[in-house]
Amino acid sequence: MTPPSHNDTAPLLDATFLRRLERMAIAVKKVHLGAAKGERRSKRKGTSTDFADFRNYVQGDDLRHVDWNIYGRLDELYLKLFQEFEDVTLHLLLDVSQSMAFGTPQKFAFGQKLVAAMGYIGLAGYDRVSVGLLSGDRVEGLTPIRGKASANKLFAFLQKNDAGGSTNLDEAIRMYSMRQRNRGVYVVISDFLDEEGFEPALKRLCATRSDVYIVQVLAPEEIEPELTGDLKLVDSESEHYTEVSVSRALLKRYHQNRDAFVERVRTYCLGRGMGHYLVSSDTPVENILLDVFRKGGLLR
Amino acid sequence: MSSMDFFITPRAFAFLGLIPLLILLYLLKLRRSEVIIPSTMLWMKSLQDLTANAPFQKLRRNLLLLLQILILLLLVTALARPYMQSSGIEGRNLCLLLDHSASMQTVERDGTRLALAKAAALEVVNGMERGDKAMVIAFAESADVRCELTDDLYHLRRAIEGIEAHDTRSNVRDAAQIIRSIAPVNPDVTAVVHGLEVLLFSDGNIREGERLAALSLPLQYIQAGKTNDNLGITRLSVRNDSTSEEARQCFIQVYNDRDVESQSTLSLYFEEHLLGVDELTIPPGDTDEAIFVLPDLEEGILRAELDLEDALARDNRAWLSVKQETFIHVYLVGTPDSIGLSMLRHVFSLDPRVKLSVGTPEQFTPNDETDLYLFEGWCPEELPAGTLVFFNTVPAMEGLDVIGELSNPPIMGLDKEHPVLRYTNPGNVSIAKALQLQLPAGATTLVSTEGGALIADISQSLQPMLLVAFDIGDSNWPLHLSFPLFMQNLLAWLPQGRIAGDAAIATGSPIEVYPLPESLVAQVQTPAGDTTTLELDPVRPVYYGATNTAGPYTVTRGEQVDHYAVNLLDQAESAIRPADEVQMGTQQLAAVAGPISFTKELWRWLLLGGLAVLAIEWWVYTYRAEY
Repeated sequence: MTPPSHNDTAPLLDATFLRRLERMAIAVKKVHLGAAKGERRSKRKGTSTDFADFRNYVQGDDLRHVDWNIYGRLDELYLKLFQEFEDVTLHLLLDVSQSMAFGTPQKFAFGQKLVAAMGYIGLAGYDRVSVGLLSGDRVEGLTPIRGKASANKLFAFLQKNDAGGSTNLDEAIRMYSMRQRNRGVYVVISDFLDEEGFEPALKRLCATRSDVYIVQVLAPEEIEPELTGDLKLVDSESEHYTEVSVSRALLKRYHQNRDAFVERVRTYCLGRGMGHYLVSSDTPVENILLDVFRKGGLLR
Repeated sequence: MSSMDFFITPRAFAFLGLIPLLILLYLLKLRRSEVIIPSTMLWMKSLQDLTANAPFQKLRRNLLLLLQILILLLLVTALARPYMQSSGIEGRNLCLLLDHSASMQTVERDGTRLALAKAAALEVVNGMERGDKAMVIAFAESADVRCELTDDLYHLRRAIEGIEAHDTRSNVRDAAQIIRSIAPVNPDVTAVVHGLEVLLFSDGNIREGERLAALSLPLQYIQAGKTNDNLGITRLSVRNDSTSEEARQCFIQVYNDRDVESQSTLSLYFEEHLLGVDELTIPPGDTDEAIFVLPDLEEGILRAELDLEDALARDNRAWLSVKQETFIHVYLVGTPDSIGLSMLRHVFSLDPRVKLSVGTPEQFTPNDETDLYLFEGWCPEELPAGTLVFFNTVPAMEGLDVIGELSNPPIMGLDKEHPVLRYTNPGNVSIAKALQLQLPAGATTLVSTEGGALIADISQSLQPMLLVAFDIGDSNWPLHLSFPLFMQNLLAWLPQGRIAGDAAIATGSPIEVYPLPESLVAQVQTPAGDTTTLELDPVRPVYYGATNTAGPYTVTRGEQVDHYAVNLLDQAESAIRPADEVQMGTQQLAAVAGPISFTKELWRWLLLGGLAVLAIEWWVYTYRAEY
């Protein structure tokens, strides 16, 4: 399968980068049931050449799977079970609320590229890729796709959507998980700056019993704000405002709170077996994949 | 003393009404610029943390406003010009004004008043600090700058110590004029000295104090002296006895400044001979008079003396110059029926000093007794000795000639400097006709017209001669005031007339000294015996001004010896009771009680404070993190 044409992917990923992505694969920790044949070991016993187990013959079993050698020795019917290889579903959830439309570069644009790259890795690895764009309490979803040929579909889907609206991660994830019953690998890309709190959403992801990876994206302006003077700070989503006189003490306090918030998300994730990555939107996606995700165990 | 007394312009506090405006402006001004950010979540949390941990939140929230109000308060207070009294000086310009008039010679318990005033002035000089400057002006009847504005303490001390008392009255007119010249009242005139403070060291008995008040400068009056133990002679004159034609009387008035009735013996001497003694009993604050009948006296000095000891000795003696009565002999020669002659006869016959002789040209015979010859329309071929005045006639003199006649000559110019034209203005006199003269070398035109002189000084060597080139009868001059004044000046112009000048002179006033034909040098001897030589001007008088000491002065010109009595004779100076308040026009200046203090304005510090607070405000605005 050839990678998508340069023209199609130009806004998101270039061809060279796509070729490099093909050498990567999603690391799956848990064994999940797949939806179709694939390259991931499935919980299901199947027809591969890899021996898995024996079990007693019950009426109705296919006699072709009876191990006649054991019958010869023990005069009992045992069925020889083989390992099944199926695909795994990669759920890529991108927060597209208004807060993601900020930053230089935009957190949303960064998220688009990251989803595109991860999706391409999944497609190249014969995995099923499902994309959900979370905005407010609704989800813009892409029907699960497979194979590199569907890459363009993925990219087009990503490119046609813009950031906007408020965030209600919990509700959006709830709706997504209702549609997608397949377990697999969840990668959630968001800033998690939800006034309602990030915990319910993460708890809901945890309940899917999938491999969950949280990618917390912050813009450089959020990491090191360059604000001075008496300002009226308006929340992009809620339009609530806060009047501040930016001082060194306030900035210092902001840094402390920012670190505390990130640490809280990380602690919450790690405590529930979820992976957590903090990335800045000005970091090249390639670096994120190679350095952060590979070292963090999400990619191999 | 109310709190407002600490401010020079308390009206400036009206600007405190700006505070509500400032608050309003602050509220309006604080329009924060709007910035849209992804989420305010972290900021809100930070803000809550910060405000929860910081005490005095409300205060700090409005700290900029409070600082601005503080700046306004400081500026308004600076505008109100608060001040404090300081015993030291700092970068000030002082004018030390020392009274050295007669009353300052009063002897107090600790010395004379002048010594006390000098000590107080020296104390001020000794208290001067770096950057201070002072000047010293001594004043009595006139003022004298003893030391220009300087920070040289040595010169200042020397100038103060060098001030000596005068027997003159106290008048600050000249001193005020001097101060005005360096620190003018008019703001448009550039001042030589800024921020001048005047310290007046006096007993308060000064004249024209309002001139000091008009300077609008900070003024302090340091009073010297306490006593009023004084009797003084305030009047001394000689007059003719109304009951006898020959006898003359000496009138003497004595003033008692004490609080009690006082008795004193008054003696009158002529030279060293005692003429009479009188016992006076004078009520407090009042005067008593004594009259002595004088015998027939020659020229000399009368001296009146009070026989007592009081605080001011200078007014216990007075002098009077006695002169023999002299007459000026005037010989008027002319045609008997001419109008000019009759006018001249009329004007001279009214003067009691003049013994007038009138004669026709035929009768004319010169004599040694005549002081002034007036030739009206005729003159002798041989000129007599003495002062000669020619009216409408020209004497035989080399270079002097009649070259024509002028009809209705207008008066074009006057030499008002000449003694015979003093105080006169014959400019509007109409003349029908006049002789057109050619003047000899050395002659001076006194009144000129087109094409010549109308009146000329044609004096030869030391013989005074005047030429009037028109007939008085052909003019309306006798109808003008300038005519009798001219004739009076003519008499004073005579050497004899000059001797008969005023012999009673107030201290500080100059003695007029005229030349004699035989002498252009005069010797003036002061009461202390010092002699000064004066070079005299042949035409104009010379003034001898060093008459600050009362007593008899002697002026010797050749063989001629004249006596002048210079006296204080001023009740205001004899009233030595020091004034607690100096009257300055409608204002009164109270004497400084206690040590001398200086007004130290504080607005500069307040302004600096305002700037400091402004800097703090800027700092707070920029680095709020620090609080």
